[in-house]
Amino acid sequence: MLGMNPDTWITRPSAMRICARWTASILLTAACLTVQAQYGLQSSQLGGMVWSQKFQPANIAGGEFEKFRYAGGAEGYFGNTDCSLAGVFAENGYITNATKERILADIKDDLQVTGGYGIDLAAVNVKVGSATLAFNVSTGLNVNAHISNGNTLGLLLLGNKAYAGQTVRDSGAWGNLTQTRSIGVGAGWKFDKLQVGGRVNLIQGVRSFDASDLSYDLYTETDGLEVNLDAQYAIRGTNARAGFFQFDGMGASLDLGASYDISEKLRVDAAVTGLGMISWKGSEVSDDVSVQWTGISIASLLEDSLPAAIQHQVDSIKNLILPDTIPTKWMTGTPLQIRIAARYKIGEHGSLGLLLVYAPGIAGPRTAMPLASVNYQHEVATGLVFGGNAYFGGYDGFGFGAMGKYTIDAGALKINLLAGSDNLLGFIASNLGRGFSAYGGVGVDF
Amino acid sequence: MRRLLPLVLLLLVGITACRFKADDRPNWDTDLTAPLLKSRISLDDALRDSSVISVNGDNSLTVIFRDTLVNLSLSDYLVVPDTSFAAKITLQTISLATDTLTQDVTLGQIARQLQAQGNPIGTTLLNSHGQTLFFFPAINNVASDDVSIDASTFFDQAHLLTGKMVVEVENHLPVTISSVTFHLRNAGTWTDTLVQKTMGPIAPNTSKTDSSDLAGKDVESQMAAKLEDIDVASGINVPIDTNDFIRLRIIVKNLTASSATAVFPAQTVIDDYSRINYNFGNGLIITRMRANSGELRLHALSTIQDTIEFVYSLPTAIRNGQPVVVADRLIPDLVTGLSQADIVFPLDDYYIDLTLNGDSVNLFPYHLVGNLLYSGRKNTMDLSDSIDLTYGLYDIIPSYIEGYLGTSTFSFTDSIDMAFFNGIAGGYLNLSNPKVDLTIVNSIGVDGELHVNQMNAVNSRTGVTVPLEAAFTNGPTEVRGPRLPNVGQEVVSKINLNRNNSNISAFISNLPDRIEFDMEVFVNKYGNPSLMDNFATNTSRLAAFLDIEVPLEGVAENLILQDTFDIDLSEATLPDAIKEGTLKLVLENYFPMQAKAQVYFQNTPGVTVDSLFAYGGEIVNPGIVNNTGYVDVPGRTVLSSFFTQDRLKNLRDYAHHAVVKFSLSTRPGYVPVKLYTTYGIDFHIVGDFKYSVGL
Repeated sequence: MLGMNPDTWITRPSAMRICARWTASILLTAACLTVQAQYGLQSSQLGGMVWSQKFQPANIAGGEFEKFRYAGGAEGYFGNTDCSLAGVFAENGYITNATKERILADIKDDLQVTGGYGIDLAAVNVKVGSATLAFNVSTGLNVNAHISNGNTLGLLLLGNKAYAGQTVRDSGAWGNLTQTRSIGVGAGWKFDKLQVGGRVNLIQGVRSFDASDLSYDLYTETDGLEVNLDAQYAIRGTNARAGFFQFDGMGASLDLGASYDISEKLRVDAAVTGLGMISWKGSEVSDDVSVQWTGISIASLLEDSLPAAIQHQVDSIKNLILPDTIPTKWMTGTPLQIRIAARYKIGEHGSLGLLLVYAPGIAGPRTAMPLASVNYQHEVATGLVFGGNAYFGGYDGFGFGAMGKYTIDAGALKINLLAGSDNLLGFIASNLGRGFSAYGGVGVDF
Repeated sequence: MRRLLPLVLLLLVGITACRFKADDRPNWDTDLTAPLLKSRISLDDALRDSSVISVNGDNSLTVIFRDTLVNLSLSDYLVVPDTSFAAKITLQTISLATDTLTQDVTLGQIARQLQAQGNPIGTTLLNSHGQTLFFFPAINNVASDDVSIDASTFFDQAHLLTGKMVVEVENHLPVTISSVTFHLRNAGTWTDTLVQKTMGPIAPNTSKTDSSDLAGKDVESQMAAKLEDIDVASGINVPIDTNDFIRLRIIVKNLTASSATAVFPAQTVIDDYSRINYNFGNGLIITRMRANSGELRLHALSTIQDTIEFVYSLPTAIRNGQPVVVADRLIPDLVTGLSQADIVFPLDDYYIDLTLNGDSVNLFPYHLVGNLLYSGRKNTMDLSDSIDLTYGLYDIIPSYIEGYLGTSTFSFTDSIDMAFFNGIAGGYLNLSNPKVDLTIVNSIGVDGELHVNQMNAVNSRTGVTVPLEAAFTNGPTEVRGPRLPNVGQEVVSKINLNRNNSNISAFISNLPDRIEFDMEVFVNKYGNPSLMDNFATNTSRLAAFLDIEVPLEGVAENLILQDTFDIDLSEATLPDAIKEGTLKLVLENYFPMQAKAQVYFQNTPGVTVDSLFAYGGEIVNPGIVNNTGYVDVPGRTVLSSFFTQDRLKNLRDYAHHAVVKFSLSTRPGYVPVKLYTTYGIDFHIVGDFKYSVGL
């Protein structure tokens, strides 16, 4: 503490803290969600409901209503490839050393984390002749991160003191965060056994943060006398803005889908959603940093100008690690999903569904491999449907979910309620689950 | 059942939505370690002034220091005062030109005047030309015509302050002039009589002279002179030649005027030969002096419309065999009528004899001459016209003086700073073999006596003062100087102080930052003024030096290396995230002494608000001395100080200064040790902090 300028001592970021910041930002964004969903594993099977159209545009032409229907809802998700969530979301949120040790024991190299939320402010269907038109207004945020070495997470959880005498390194780490608003216009048609639908979305980019190709070597001397950092990084981000009409990205995407009734009981469908790009403008900072930090070096403690010497050295480190930003533009993909599904009616009130989902893009929910889900929904009473699902693949590896939908029939007006989770394991068995999701919504039909 | 279904759904949503509360966001603690600061306190640092540190062949250290206690130079003896003189020259001292006018009156002119008056004598005289007239009758009341006098070539008008007119009448007639009246009057604007004189009798071929005072007269250039009432005596057998004549000669001289429009003649307007009698004080007598620098300055302002030429000379100021001679002219501006001159003449390297031909002292003669030059131009001047002169000698700094430098006493009550121990804040270092010399150097040609009334070693950091006890503090010390002609010679006297003849060891071991002294130098206490054998040059000096040579070897006891520097943590925000931490000091001590380390944190008034360690500090192991007495393996010590967040906040809010203190003591035992350049304490401050991360 001797002679240190608190402004630099306390607030100046180091390379390690830069890593911590963007990773923590991603984790923060993912973890603070209250209502989450993932892939619409069961929602997409509700072919007659507005909520399913987000995942299968062909469903725009489905459902029974007179002229107009509306639905709103929200969804959120979180998942990672390696470790369960036991102890992560504990009472008062404090992660104990035991939890940290368990997490670090669980994770392997190439840890990937994903999370996000979406809010459908309005999804409206209007019948015009034989077609059904759809209008959507929504907003959402998606976060993805990847680290190659589990010790990177160890640095974040334990600090560098635990690695004194060692070199911690990572390469090829990346992370991104995308927040958007979108307005969609679509239409659906029904031709006997075939339903087709499509939607065009105009996307307003609210915020983007993209850190790619982060590599570093961090060495902490046994007694803490020396910290060496070699790091390469490239970070792009939009500028901080506030307000509905202030944004730094513009883009568009296309959603397409089709379903076909092979028989009265069997329907197959396929959809491609989120096929598009967003153009961003913001700032970029990149550098190749090599710092050997042995503390602020005072040639002689008995010199007269210590504050100036300290300031000079701290400024030098700051300039070395954080060079000036430069304006830049870049493109990102929209959250692309490819889905294939089949649904088979069982009896009067049941339906069994099979679903394959693949989300290859890094700007939205992403599966490490195609996710396969088996869903069963049953109308236990008029208007009341319960469902359950089990899936394999995706970030979480596996999961179990449940949903409920209830329709209140008030004559010309029908009120629809929906709630569910594609993965309840994070909630009810966090020692097993590596993720969780939730969704819910309210709709009316006229 | 149906009524319960919405509740079931809401419960399902609630399970998911309320699973996490905002206050339950994940957070955890990390243990961060980072080097914060590294530095070194070395003996070089403690001995602040590296210029006084001498590294011996074995890398041990010796402090070699010299400072001046007394320094007398020529400027302390002699300051040549500036001299300035002024003169104002007015028209009262300017003369007008002298002139002489001659006019003849012939016998024929007299005869024709008589004829015209009806006097038959006139015809008789004219007819007798060339003959001898038996009886020449007396002639009375004859007058000449007016004779015009035109002096316009010399002046137009003048009011005369002084002047004299001399009238001479020569009788070249064959008979005696019984009487004649000379009448001179203005004949221009004025017609008043200037001079009227009656003279006679004047025998043939003789003359008569008379004079008149013209003081107070107003004269014009146009005047008329006339011989009136010419009475001629009778005669027998008088040869008549009508060409015979009476000659009138008018001489005007010694004219000075209060106002005049005139052509002024060349003349000397000032001639001042005088001398400067210097008083240098203290009985100082100078016979010879060489000016290192200085100058003669002369400023003149004239309203006189004629050119004035100046010559200023210093006949006893000689360089290259030539005295100082300065000449210049005041040439009037034809429009304003004014003129001025500024002369600056350097006196560098002039050799000045102040004996005035060998029989005086302190005298510097000068000679100023001002001449009005004839212009041939008529100018108007009056008493208000003047020449204002200022002249003198300024800023004379001698490079050599000779004579008798007087009897003086110079007191030196002062102190000298010894900053090289300032890095040592306290404690005691019993030095094994300090050496101090008092060196007196005199190159002034005068003897003196040095009295050391008191000399103290003051350590203001500890408040301890040690008076010097030595022979020269108990009595006077004679200071000899060189004798003529040994100009430039230095006479050096040295007084050695050691353990045996003084308390110099205790004096230096006090590690003074200041030496106070009270000394006096008596000059020429036994000098003889009549010998005039003192001298000094501008490089001469009578100086006393303190020469200190201290090998850094001894026994230390609580020798404190300390410094205070500013810290300002008021803007710090990290303590909110840092729950607790440990400051770890990793020290490597190369001193062969045990050290006690401490850091005090103080607020602005200097009150300690915290310290890194309790109970005055923590022990740092000494370096390990090898068999040659040298430390090549440092003593390594790791010290830790635990900080809670409250303690950190206390530092942030109140600590404005940090005082780092190392206290060195020779342990084990009290065996004197040598101190080397490589000795010091390397230290690293490492921060181990528990940092709270919240998402």
